[in-house]
Amino acid sequence: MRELREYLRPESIEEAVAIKRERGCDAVYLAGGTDVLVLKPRGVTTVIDIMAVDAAGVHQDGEAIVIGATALLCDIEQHPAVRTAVGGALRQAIRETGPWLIRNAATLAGNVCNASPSADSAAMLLTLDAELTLSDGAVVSLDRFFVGPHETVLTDELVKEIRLFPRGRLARFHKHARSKSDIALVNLAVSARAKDGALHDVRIALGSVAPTPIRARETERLLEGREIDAAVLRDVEASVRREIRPISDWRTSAEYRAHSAGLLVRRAVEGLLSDLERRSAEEGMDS
Amino acid sequence: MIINLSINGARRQLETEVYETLLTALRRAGYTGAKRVCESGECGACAVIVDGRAVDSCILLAVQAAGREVVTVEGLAQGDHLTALQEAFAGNGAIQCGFCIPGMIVAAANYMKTNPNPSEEDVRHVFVGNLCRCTGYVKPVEAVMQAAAQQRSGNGD
Repeated sequence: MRELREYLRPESIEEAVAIKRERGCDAVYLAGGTDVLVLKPRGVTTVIDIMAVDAAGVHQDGEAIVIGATALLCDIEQHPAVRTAVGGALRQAIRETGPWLIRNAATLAGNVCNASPSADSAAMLLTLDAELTLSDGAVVSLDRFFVGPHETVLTDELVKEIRLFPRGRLARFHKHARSKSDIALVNLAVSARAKDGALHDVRIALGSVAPTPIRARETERLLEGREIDAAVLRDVEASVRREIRPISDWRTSAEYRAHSAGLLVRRAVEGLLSDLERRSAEEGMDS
Repeated sequence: MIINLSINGARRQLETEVYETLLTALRRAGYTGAKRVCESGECGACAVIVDGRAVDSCILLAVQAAGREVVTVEGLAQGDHLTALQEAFAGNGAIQCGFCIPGMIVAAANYMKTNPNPSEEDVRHVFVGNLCRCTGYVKPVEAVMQAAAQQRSGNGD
């Protein structure tokens, strides 16, 4: 980033966006910097550090958990609403997004906006119906946000806050990597509402198996409200493999990604089913 | 450009370019405890504490640290008096080639403040961000567990 010659630290989102509009492609937003300083985008002459903007809060707003643009991963994972959401799966996904030295600097909004196909938080957020509130007030659903590798619908706008809807959901998250600090070979999350002993509003999302983090909608439909037996679980595996578009790279092969994505979604669904059983048993005891 | 910041409790001015990392600026100013290794936030050898949080200084611009309080590994000991954690590393032989140790100590010292009663799993989870090419993790983990126990019983720093 030797071309860099200007560092700005605006104190409001409006000011930050105004600078970005003026500088265009010569400028890049910087939050924790843990992606920007690694990717070192070419030709950038200005960084707009947004960490002085007052947006570090995490709070519960009715059904939603609201996470501000500059909230650090290390603070998000400590928040009581996040700790208890979906049986701890949200907290797990945030903790596995990066090691402690990274979580002390990195933001969730930054991880989302970096739009890595392997972003560990993205799969979990997609299954919690995450919505992004932008600096111009527009609200974008996360599943319409990613365009391609490191590419989103954003040009000059900023993500102001992320809203998640974990309440009433069961969820599982799994990161498959050589170690927890590595980039995922596959990551995935599943979530659903439990009703009458079945899974409803099923969400399945995966990372590292397509140009962006993706939802596996066909596979979701296979599970919706149904009794799930061994045959359905086999269909789930096959369906996941049809929906993803993995590539081979130096981390692993497309074949291995397809194999593990199918298997791991199946196991995550089995996990949800055991959560469902436990919940039904608990409800039985209550009544 | 010149930035003002606090390093190990003393006010300092550092001359830096906008594109330079905090690691580069610190090492040029003589704080060579922070090691330059991966320069991509993978290995933790450059860890320093900025405003109370341990971070990788290789992926932080020096200007991002302007006006803030930085503590490097040099700032942990009081003169010749090592901290309980440093003593525990030395006493347990928690060192092989030693290059990753300053980063491990900075990360662990900072983590022990947020969690004075860590489990072995917690400590291993912290060291996920500190790579040791000699693969010597067992003794550093033991050293942190010992120092944390000592701190709880009131014999540490």
